Amino acid sequence: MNTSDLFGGVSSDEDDSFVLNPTEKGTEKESTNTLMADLEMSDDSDTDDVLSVKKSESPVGKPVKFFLSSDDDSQDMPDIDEIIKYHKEVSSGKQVIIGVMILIKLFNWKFQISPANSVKREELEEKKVKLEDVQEPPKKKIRVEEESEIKPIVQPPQHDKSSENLIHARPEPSQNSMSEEDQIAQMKHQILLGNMSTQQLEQYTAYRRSRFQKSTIRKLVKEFTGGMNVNDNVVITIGALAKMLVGDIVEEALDIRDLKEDEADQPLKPHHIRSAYMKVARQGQF
Amino acid sequence: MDDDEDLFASDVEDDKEKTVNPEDKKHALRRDLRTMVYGFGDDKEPYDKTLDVLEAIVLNYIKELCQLAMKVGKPDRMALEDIHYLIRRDQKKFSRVKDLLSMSEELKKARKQFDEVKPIL
Repeated sequence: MNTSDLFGGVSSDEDDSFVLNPTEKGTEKESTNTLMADLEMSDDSDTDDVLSVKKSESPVGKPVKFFLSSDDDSQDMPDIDEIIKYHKEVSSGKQVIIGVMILIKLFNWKFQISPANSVKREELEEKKVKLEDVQEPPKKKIRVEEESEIKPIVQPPQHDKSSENLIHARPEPSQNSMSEEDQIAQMKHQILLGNMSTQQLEQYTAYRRSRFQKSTIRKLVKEFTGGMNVNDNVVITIGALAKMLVGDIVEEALDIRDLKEDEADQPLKPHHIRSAYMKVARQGQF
Repeated sequence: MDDDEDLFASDVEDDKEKTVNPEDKKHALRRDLRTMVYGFGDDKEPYDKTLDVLEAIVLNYIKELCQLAMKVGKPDRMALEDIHYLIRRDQKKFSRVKDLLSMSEELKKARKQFDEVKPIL
């Protein structure tokens, strides 16, 4: 991509297309962003800082590189390598890297991002994934995101979904510097999320958030162990294992179901599950 | 007389079972299972019978897990030894569980800090 072309071409056409697109992608972006917001936490003041800092440090000398193709079709996946290079260039010049602590969805149950914040985040996301303006360099929020595969099942007992406060909680930020791979992984993750359809996002949310209630598991375990009191950790572990088991079985069952064309569109049936279970059990349970 | 007493006793037992059984019939797993199954790729509205089977599988799994864990290690104690049990079984599960636990530890710490900060604010 010829940077000077893109640079010159920023003015009218590209802008128009990206003004149009946000509206249709708006809802997607919002759901993405609430999901991202749920997955990650941020702070109001921090966002302000980011905006103000970035504005003052707009790069003048360097021609800004854009990742999207010069077509008006913004649906193309941006080139990851380009993004990585660009962010490297940008980050080397910048000294202020704001680390926002996220952990995992456990915190999501407790804390929520306010709408105002999520709007700002939406701006951030858009600027990151879509074509950036010349004046405002991409705002980079480095989020410390733990292993994305984790499916925690612990829910703090006092906190219901209904009683969530709009607390902006930010535990002490972890180290400012994240490893390269983590950054890259995060960006990839964000790009992935940004490109999912609504239905996919729903499913992803369901996948991440679903878990067995701690209380239920504890009750069951008590029953099966003859009334023994068990650790919190044990309950967490068993819940996690149960979820993983469900995952294995459902995946196998889906494969089995899809083998037959006529059954492919229907929801899973018990015989799928049973054969899947036998397969999984054979692979080594106890 | 004895018969009466026996009958009486059995009635009481029956009542107990009756109160316990409906709970068992619709264990709270059901609701969570539905979301979970959707997340893993099934329809938004899976069949009830499917959920039944899955629930039975999960309950059975937990039961066997508990029973085996009881045998391992100290008698009458269940700790994280069952996690080690799973090393041999499933690398994937083991590493995930490990990450989970470490993260929950971090969260506890963070929550503690937050609680300390809150009164000040």
